[in-house]
Amino acid sequence: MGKTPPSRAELLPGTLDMLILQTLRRREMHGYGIAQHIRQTSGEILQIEEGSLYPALQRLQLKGWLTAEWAVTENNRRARYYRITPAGRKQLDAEVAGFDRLIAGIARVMNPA
Amino acid sequence: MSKVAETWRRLMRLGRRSLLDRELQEEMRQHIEMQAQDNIAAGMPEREAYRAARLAFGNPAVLREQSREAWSFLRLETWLQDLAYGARLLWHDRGWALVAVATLALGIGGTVAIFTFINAFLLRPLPFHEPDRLVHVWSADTRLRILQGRLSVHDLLDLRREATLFTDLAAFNYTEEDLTGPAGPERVFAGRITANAFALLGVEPMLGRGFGPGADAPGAAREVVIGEAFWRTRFDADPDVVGRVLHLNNHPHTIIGVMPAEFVFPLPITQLWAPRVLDPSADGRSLRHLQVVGRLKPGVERSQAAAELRAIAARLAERHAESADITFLAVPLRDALNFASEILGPMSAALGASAFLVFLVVCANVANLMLARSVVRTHEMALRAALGAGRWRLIRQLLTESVLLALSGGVAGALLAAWSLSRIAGAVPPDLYRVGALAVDRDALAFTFAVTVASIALFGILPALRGTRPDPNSMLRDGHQTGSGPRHRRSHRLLVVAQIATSAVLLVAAALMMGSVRELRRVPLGFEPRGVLTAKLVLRANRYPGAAEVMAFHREVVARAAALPGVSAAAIVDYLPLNHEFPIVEAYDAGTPVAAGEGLEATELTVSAEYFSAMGIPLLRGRTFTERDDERAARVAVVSEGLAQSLAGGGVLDRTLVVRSPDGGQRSYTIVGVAADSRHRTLKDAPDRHVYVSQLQEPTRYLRVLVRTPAAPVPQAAALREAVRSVDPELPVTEVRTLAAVVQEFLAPEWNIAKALTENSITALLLALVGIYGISAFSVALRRREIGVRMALGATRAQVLRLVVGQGLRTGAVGVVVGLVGAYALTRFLSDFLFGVSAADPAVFAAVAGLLLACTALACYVPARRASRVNPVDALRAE
Repeated sequence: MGKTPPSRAELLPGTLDMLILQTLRRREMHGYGIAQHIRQTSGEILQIEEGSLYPALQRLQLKGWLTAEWAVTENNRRARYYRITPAGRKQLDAEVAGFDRLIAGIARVMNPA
Repeated sequence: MSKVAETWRRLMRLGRRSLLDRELQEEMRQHIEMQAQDNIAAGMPEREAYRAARLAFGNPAVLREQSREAWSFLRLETWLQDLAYGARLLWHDRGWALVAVATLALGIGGTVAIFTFINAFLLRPLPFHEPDRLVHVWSADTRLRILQGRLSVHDLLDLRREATLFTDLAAFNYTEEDLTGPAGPERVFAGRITANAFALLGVEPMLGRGFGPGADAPGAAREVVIGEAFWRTRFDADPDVVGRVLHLNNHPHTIIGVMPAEFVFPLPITQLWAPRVLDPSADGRSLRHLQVVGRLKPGVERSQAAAELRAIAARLAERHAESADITFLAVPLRDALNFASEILGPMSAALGASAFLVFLVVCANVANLMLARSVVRTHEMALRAALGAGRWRLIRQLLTESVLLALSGGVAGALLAAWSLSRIAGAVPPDLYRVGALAVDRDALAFTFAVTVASIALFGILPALRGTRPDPNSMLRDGHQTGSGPRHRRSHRLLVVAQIATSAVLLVAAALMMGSVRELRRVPLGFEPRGVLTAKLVLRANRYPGAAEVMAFHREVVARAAALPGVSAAAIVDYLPLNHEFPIVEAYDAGTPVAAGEGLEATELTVSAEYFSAMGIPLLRGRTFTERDDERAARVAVVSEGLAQSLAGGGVLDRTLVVRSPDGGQRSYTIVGVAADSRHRTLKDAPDRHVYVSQLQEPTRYLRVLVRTPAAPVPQAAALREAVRSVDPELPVTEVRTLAAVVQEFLAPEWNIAKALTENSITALLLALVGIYGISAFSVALRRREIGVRMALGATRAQVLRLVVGQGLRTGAVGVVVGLVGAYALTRFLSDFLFGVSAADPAVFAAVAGLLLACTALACYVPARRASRVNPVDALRAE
């Protein structure tokens, strides 16, 4: 983690898994696509070290939350496409709920009513 | 659940690791490619586009490494790495490793051998069903002070009828029987058992059947059950052996079954079993020849059974005069089957303790070796710590090496144990009751493993903690001149003190035992064992029915043996001296009659006329037996000097002696001679009192032939066998031994302990010396510069020599003092075996102290001399 170059917004630990799962919620994607999607949808705020996706993708497969398959891209390149599993969806829901609670908690501390 | 699935997925990846790795690499390459293409599309120059793409991606090598964790077993692999690294290091230092492994093998092998010995003789459960419920019944004669007496047929039947706490009681004897067949006559070891014995012990024959009810009734068909070994060797494991016939004591017996190899009863050498006929009308109530085993009802304690047996004995004593002084005792069956159980306990304790002490010395030695090595490796450890290895990681590395050493030592130790067990097996009597073989079996291997693990704890942990004490800064700064700090040297010294102390304990014990054996050998036997050959003969009643036939045989055999060339005297006797068999009688002067139990205890031997000259026992007064002292003449006896003195101050010739035997029989003799005292039962107490009676008046069927040959007796063995065969070709001749061998065997327990302790103490001493030498040499090497400075400042060689040797001697002296105190505390456990030496013999203690100090000085001298040859200029410049 210490080796990650400074990004505009440091990712909260453990949130990368959630972001990947969320990204794959609608459709399957390859690694580069995931990285692009996270960067663009966050309005360039979340700039992850792109390579660090790959250890995370391996981890998520091992957990049984993702499956992967080789396919050909629209530009005729070979790429590995990742797809979320039902177990992955369940995990995503749990993480989102946990994350929402965390944010709500932080918000209450920052803006006491 | 999900953890299981995860592990499963990990396992699935295990076999495809290189493929997965290649795919990942490809995926990452494509990622960078796509990024670069997008960058170009956005207007970047090509080189810049690739650079930016790689920059955004991060370090692919590190990321691949991280990704790989998903398909590896990290912990296992680090351990395997440690193992491989440790093995490589040990191989690199293979001389050092060989010394360590060999040392460990000595310690582990010794403990495993002794454990297996103790396991077979004392620990392993008897090979019967629920052996804890089996008790052995002895009779005790309160008048004659006999504690391990046997029971009569009437006793057995009374017990079966009256005892309520036993499910059943069976009787047995161990006998030797004559087996005749095409291979010539031989003697076999048999168990004579009642019909219910197999069922009571709860062991079924592996083939055929056991004895049916009534098989032990008088006149029952003659049946025999053979042992598995007998079945294999004599019948080639013939499955159709049931129904074949064996000629035992010249009667045909039908084989009805084969017992499994595990069934050991009543002796390990028992080859077959035949019924013990119970005939209350033929056997008197006082004829007590049976050993009795009973099975307690479930939940009954041995003490309860003992109380019931006493109560029954008391009732029998009121009813029958022959049972007047008899009571019954219940002991664990193992204690009764193993007739050396009272020796084996302390013997096992002594040998086990000595093996354990050697094991401690071994562990101390290996710990020292490890410490020495870890000092050399201080630099490596400091470097690894500085590079970020945690202390636990370093400890684990060192412990892994210890595990490797210990496992190798364990394997070598098991091999060593197998070898020493084969030697031990040759030294213990084969008829001593044991369960299982004296070999490295499953129990022994399990024990080896336990000892190996214990050795790691003993020798591995201290050096691992010491060697990794975290202080990389000072260690790196000091460069190579490290590890000579006082802390390290204190650990070394502590181990050396422990080694010397342990060696001292063992040396003292060994010296005391050797002294005892020497003293035992000096005890005047009263007879001359050299030049005498003996053989055992047993005349069966069906071939020698009456005294006349027996006597005729005696005459003939003595005459032929005496006629052998080179034989100066030939005789027969019923029991050999120092052979653990002795008929005890009570004797008193007819002029002063005493109540039963009040007479003089004596050993009664039935001998032929030449016995005294064949044995070399001087006749002091009167005469020996002659041809005229036959069955028609008045009974005559020769007594030993000790008995004569006790009876009437020595002047006993022509007095009448009354001899009462334990079965109540009583006979009178006229004393015609007095022989010198000799040893029969023991070497340790006062010489036996002997009553000698004549074979011509009371011929015995159980006998030993003795021939004295001034030349070497061993070559006469064949001639002696031939002489017996010429009288009776069907008669087996067994136990053909020299009398010297009989005496030697009598000393075997003490001699074996002495030998084992000596071997162990020499091992410990050598290991300690190697340890001292190693430490001394090592410390000299580390202190090269210091010694150089001393010499530069004017110290002479002699002074340096004194410095190094003096330091070693001080350490040695501490060890010697600790060891002698320990020896003083421990050797009294040997006192059962000590004879003629005090457990605190100052000469022995002083000699051991001197020997150890001398050896310590010697072990330090070689390194000290090397130190004194240090050239101060070289020593100082080397830094």
